[in-house]
Amino acid sequence: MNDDELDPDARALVDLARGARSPSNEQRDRAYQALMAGIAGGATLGAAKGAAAKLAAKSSLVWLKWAIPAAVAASVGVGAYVWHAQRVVPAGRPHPVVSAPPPAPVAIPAAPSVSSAEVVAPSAAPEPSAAPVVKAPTSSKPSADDLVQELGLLHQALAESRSGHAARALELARQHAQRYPASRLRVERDAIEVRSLCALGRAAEARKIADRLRAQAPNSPVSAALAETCVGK
Amino acid sequence: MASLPTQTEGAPEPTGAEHEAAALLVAPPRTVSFREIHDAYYGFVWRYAANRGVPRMAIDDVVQEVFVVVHHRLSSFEGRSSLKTWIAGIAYNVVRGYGRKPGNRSAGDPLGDDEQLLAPGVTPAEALERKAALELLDRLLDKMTDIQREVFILNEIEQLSSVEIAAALGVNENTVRTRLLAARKVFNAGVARAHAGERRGDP
Repeated sequence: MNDDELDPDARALVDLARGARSPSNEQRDRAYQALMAGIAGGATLGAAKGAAAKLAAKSSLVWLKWAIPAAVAASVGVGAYVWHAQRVVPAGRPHPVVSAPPPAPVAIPAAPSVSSAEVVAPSAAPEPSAAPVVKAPTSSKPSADDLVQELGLLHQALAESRSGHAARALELARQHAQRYPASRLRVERDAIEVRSLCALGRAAEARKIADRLRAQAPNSPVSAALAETCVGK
Repeated sequence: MASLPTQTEGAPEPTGAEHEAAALLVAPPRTVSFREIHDAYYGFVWRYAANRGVPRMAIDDVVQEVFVVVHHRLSSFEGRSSLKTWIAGIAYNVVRGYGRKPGNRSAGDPLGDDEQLLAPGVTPAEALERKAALELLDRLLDKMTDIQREVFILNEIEQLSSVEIAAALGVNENTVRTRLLAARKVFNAGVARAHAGERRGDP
């Protein structure tokens, strides 16, 4: 057995598995549309009218990752969004607060023959290991710190929802409601609550909240996203 | 790398060394759009996430997160490494971040490749064969250490060179080589055992 390379049977297995685990071009195109809609939708929450934004909103909870920071950026400034973006982008790197369109084409220079020491490895900062401790805001106008904490709570609720832990997601969303009753992110919070209640089979409660949410924000992608839950249209 | 590879989904890509050689031949800089980059590397990132054990229900989110980072940082990409190496590094960090979140998939959970297995044109017999191949691949990947699995996926499945993997993961090139040898040993032995079992008629 030569460990400098795979045995023929092993190579055949890898090639077969590689082909079997490759996404289709349709998947790729759908993903691109959702990606761009998510970016665009995040930049224009509340005014998103494009079909692409609705597509992304309906496809999953991904839209919330964009909706939440965008809502904050639109209402109180950019600090909280930067915090969100730093979940995946290294600190110290400038990046746009709003980036709806794809970046302009870039010239990819001819790569010189470089040694491994010269190659700079990208390093996306890992997620914060623990959820931020949440405390109630002390003044009527929320500070950046308050918003960071508020976002932390909502992101945690969203993560629980996406992981299938509906009861925990509901608990966190209600915790958020209790601590931030007048939050500008209440629409996003209510959406998490609706989804969680649906997942728990509590459709009547979910419908009540969904009706209120739709009345408050009839044109928002958040409302559109509820079409795929137990509360339907 | 100066140009994007011509990538046919499902077909093995040229090796990293071939990319670099092509880059040297194609000297003039080439302008590429984000869409081109997304389309060229979507399959790579998707497969990488799947092979690293991200469950089917979360792969789209993870892949999207990778391309969000690419989108944000593309303008700062200086071409000091190949685009694929750069994206591999981002994917590595995003997937690692995903795996560290409490409640996310632990190794060994079924991935659920139904959409790929039942793709148009795939006969039931082929689907079964592909399913068996994926199950065996996942079993053998689970037998490797984290770093062995990482270098095996990037080298043997995604065709990155040791230099590219070292750059993407931020580790020493010798570390990549030794871990790759160990990973191949695990994989070759596992495939041999599985085939021997088939010949004996083991379930």
